[in-house]
Amino acid sequence: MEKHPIDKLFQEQLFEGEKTPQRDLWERVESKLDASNTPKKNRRWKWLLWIGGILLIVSSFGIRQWIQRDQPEGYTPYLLTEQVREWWALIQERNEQASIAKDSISDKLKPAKTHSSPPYATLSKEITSVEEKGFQKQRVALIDSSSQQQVLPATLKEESTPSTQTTDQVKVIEMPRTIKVKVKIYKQTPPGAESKADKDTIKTRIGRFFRKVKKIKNGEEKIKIFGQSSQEILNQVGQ
Amino acid sequence: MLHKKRENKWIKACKAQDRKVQREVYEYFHRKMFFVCLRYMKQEEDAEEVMVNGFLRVFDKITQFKNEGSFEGWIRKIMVNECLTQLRKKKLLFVEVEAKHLSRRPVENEAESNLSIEELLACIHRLPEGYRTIFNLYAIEGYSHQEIAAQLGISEGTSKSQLSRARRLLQDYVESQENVQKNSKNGEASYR
Repeated sequence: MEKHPIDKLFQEQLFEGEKTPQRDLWERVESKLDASNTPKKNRRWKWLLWIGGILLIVSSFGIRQWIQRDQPEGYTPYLLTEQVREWWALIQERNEQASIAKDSISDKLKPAKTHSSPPYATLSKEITSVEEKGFQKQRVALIDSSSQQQVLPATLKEESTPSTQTTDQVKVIEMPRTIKVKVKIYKQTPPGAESKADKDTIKTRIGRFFRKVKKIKNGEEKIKIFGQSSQEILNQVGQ
Repeated sequence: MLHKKRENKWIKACKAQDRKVQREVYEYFHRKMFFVCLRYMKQEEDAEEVMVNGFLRVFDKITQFKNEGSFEGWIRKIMVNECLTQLRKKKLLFVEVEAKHLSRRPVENEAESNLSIEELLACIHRLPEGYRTIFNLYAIEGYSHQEIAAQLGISEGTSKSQLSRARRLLQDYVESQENVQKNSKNGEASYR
């Protein structure tokens, strides 16, 4: 469509027209840019700070609650950490000792050598479990005098105090000790060895074993065990 | 003509709110944009205020520029919108010019004039605000009547009739201005 002559005249002359303003207006533009940018930045930072602060408070409260969920009232996370560290060290020490003792006794109680000929029924002994009751040494971290009662386990409160030694940071309590060894006895009967003589031999051996156990239990017979460590004592029990 | 590479560099820097480049952009475009504002606003102070607000909007909305058209065209559009906002604030009225003031002659097919840019701008400034706005949008910016109607909240018919009247008035103004020029030239010649 052809453009109207008046439109054409004005468009040609005025569309690309230029005129310099009488005043320098950049300063006005710049000052308004500064004014509009600064509060926006501040506002954004304020929001971020607010959100960060709220998150920090909520998360720290949540973590504290989670740590203290099974602890008595007034127990602080710092004491809990110290206590767990002490208990963990004790558990590790005891497991190590028990493991060494078990291996050692198992070696001692290996099935007896079978005769080459004729085949005989044999008795085998196998340690099924080794339990050690009581603590040889109980290390208790003394964070402060008020928290000592909370750190001591309930069992120790009744049994402790044969001898104590107090240092600046650690209280060492020596405890009486019980070692319980469970032994499983079973017979191995090779094919063709089920004769009357074998049966009698097994019965005799089992009978002898239990009679000895009964005597020890009743105090009629004593066995002497010497040893300082759990491993030494358990070795002698195995023999 | 602004080189495309330079334009892209400017846009990138303006998006990063680089004040030095923002000033470069302002310095490059401000004369053209001031003239655009001056076509809509009669008073220079009003045109200055609109242009300042327009550049603020340009730097604020620069992230919305999609590189689909020219950068200059985008800035010009913002300036025009800023002018319309300002006119709306001033309650732009679409006054009806009485028929006796309108020329009864048909509009000439060829409009040639020796008038300068300032004189043509003065002719536009003589138009009532409503006429001036519609003539600027349609004849100079190239908006359609539909777009003008949507922008100004009027009917297409009003836009068309106002444009037609604006043309007649402008033709009268141009002729009278040319007559003044002729008379002054003749006067000068007879004086000599």
